[in-house]
Amino acid sequence: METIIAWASSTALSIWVVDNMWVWPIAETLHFFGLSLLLGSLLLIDMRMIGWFKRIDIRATHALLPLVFIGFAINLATGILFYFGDPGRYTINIAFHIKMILIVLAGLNALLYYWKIDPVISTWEAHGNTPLIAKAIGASSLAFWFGVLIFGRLIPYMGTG
Amino acid sequence: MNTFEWLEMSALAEWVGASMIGYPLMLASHGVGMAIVIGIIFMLNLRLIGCFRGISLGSFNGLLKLAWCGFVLNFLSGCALFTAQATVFIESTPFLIKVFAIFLAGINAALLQSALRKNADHWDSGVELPRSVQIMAVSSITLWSIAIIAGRMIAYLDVA
Repeated sequence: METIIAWASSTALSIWVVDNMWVWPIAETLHFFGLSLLLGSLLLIDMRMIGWFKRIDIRATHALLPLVFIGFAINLATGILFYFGDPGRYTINIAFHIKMILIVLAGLNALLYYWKIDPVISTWEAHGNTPLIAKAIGASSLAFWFGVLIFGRLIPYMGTG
Repeated sequence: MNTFEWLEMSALAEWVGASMIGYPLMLASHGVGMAIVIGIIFMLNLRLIGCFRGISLGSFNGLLKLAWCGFVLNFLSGCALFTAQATVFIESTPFLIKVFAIFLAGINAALLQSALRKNADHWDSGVELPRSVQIMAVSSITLWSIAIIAGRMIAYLDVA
């Protein structure tokens, strides 16, 4: 971990974030916009997959996926700035570790969506109930992403445990 | 002792400010509530300005109820966070801007909601949305964006 911290602190990106005091607050603000886009679009997609809000045409939720990716891209980019801006803090932080694990789990869950749901969703009944696998993937997605949000918020409070 | 000093001495402020879990719990709740309110409202507004037309405006009648649950969660967690540093917040310009923006955004959301309740089925039949509704959608995005930006700036633009 010492090696990772030493390397990350020595990068040009790290020096840029540290030297420009406005980078951090702007990145934080953008991180909140990204979070709202990511979770807003996922709320619609996943709650409908669980079988709630049946007035939403489930086949149309597909059109929200670009927003999920835009939100994620904004937060990945700004997240990288935070990490390199303070590697000594994040590398050893327990809440940050949990957050990263949850993002990986959410990513694997998204792969499952592309494998099991994406190829067949256009054939589903617009306002009908959903199969168990869709309910499971939708519920897991919301649990993982809200977990990501909560543990992200806890980074300043959980420290190194 | 004024009202804000009194608030800071209250049992709630004590719990939020001094207990191990009070502040992080309220802050995490405030984040969850924000994702729900602003997430759903952003989706509605994007739909109103013409994105993803396959999702009917009628489906937002139910979603907006959930958004108001997020709003209440954030009002309550926001009040708890406020008490912990009431005298600081009440003199913070970004905080006052944030509260005013949310006040206007809340009125805007309530007006949009009642318009949706009345007209969603008609609008979903493929007619052009009234200009006033599109203006309200853009105002909504703007006001919530101001709330996010000003909220973040509270920690950076200290009161003199």
